[in-house]
Amino acid sequence: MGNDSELLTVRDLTVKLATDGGSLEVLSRVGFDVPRGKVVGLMGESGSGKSITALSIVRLLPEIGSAIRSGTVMFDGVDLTKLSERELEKIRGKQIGFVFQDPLASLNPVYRVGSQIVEAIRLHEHIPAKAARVRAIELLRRVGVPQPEERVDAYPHELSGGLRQRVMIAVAIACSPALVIADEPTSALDMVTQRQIVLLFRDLVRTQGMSLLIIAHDPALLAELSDELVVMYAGQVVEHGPAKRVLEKPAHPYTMALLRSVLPADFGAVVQPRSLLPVVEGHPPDLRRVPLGCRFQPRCDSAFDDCATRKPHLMKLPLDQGEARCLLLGDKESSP
Amino acid sequence: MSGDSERPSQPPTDPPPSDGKDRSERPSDFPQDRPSEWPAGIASIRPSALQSEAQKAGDGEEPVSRLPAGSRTRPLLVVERLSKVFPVHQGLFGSPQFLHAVEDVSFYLRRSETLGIVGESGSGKSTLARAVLRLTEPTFGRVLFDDRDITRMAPAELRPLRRRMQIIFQDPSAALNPRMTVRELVGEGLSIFRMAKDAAELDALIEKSLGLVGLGPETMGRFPHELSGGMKQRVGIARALALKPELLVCDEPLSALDVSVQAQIMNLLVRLQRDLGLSLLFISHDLRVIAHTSHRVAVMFLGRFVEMGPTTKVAQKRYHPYTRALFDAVPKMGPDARTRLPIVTDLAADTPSAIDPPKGCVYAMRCPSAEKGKCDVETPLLAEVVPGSHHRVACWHPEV
Repeated sequence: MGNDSELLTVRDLTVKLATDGGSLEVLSRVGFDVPRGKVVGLMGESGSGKSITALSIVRLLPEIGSAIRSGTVMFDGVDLTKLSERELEKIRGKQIGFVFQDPLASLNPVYRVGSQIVEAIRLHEHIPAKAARVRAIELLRRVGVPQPEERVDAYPHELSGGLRQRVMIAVAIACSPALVIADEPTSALDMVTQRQIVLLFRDLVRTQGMSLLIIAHDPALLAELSDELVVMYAGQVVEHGPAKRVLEKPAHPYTMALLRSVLPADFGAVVQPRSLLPVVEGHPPDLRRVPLGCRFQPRCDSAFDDCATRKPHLMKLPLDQGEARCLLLGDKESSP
Repeated sequence: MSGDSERPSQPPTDPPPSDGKDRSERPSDFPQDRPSEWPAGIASIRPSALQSEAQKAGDGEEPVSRLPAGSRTRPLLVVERLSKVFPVHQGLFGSPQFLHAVEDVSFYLRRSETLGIVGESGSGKSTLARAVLRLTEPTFGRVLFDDRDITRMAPAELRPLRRRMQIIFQDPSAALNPRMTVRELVGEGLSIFRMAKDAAELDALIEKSLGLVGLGPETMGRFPHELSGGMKQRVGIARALALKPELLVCDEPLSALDVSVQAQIMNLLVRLQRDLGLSLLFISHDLRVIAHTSHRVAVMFLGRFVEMGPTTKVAQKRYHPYTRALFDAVPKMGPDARTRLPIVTDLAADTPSAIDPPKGCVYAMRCPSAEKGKCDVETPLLAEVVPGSHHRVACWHPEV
């Protein structure tokens, strides 16, 4: 790994945040790859560190109190953790685009959507305003906004949630970035709109050749997009691998539990209506008091004695099917 | 229909209704109530037919014809031709336009039953829920709660009924006052309705209601910000349950939560309904959630019900093109998840506006099988495709 086929390589990323109760390690040696032209899905519960991971990649964490303690983020051959703020600004928005969960919070309410796209373009490219506006209309058309010539002059509040998210995507892809990071891009949207956004992303990846790192808590949504999946729990990667393998043959008990709690799409064929669903009981651990051994052990159905005391490592799965962090996979070297 | 056997069923009896009026014989039209701006030619389903269906049969089982008021087998909630129209002012001198958030909606909800309402954002689901509870005043139509018309009831008269109908909201962080402790939040309604005679009994009731949602007494002194999203939603449910309601309206109670927490809360609501015999009006945009929790399902589009029927029947056969689009939009985990092709409706990014809604069928603009001169002119009625199936659709060309 780490060769030319990878656009983004994150290794051993450890991040601490300052809180009232002292410094809190929110990411512990997180590592994964985003290959060129592929979609990587980042899955896990809230608080598992998905969003922090996304923000750390381009160092968008709050300046004060947070720090990347160790690790490297190689993007197209450059270690982003070593760059100055000025150098990073040239990469954000130009080579790496962002889509956040709530487009209403990300778009400026007092500017027309067109001028916000124009701003994104002219920040990185020296082209006349008129040409940028033409491009903004083209971008709106590209992301499926109907009547882009009129909508370019709309304010964010005049658009529906789905259209606003399309505008956000237009801003993100304005400079044809190599990578787009989308943090829960559809969680605020209804199912029909969700499906439309999924199809749009799929089309953009296919036609623009861009890579996508998508964060979501709904495994079914990630299943529709991802080539690779990374599962996070309590600030650690607990499993990763080809999406098909992770979804069909999860290796980590947490992944298994998470997938079991997804309602089937075939309506009543598998699960009896109004029956009780298998759920992961309990809550993720308080990061101030992570369990000594495996972090998932207190909630794990298949935990045995060793799990409480021995820290599992990421174990390679056979046939290049990724890795999982579980003692049940025969982790012999893990330290007590 | 496994759930039906769990409902308390009473022997079928047929005494005359106690109020002496047979609601099924009411005229189906109320021209005197119709505002002058109302577009002419609104077709309607006959609420009288729905009424008698609710009283006669439980989706083909349980014949429970016209029982006396207050009987367990009479529907708890009957909604007749409910509409909610908001005036929208555009500019200083422009004449007001009207946003038809809910348009001519009729349904019933039996005791211990869950009716799921599914639709995309902006379809009027939440407005409908609020109008049913009179949290917003309906423009037209009426709501019968336990056989009493609450639509025109004076506030003082409505107040005791308010206790019996509660609501839980989508965003538990926004619904809970951040300055109140869990004890105060859950106890607020109990104090308002004077349901405890002293502080000790109040605490006991709060504790009991927290216990119902799986929270221990140690949470009583905590503030909302100290709780996780799932726990906050549990507090919201405990707050509603403390008042021993009969009707619980759940307005997107899961959308702000993680998939794993969603499953926990869904289990909780299913169990509570079973144990307490609650009637639930369950609103969600996620068809998976509705299909799992609801005995019957209603599909809403642009303020109208376009399809309604027992969940098992709708899951097997979707008559309305919009219902089919909704089913298709559900993310599938199967091996072909990544290659599943879009259907026509996936590509329509625009929803027709509820301000000045289109003439004819509300869905005609997006519908792949819309017929010019018919679908864009006449509004289809919500009617049974197969008589007696209680599976209704409002479509000129239902896929049979």
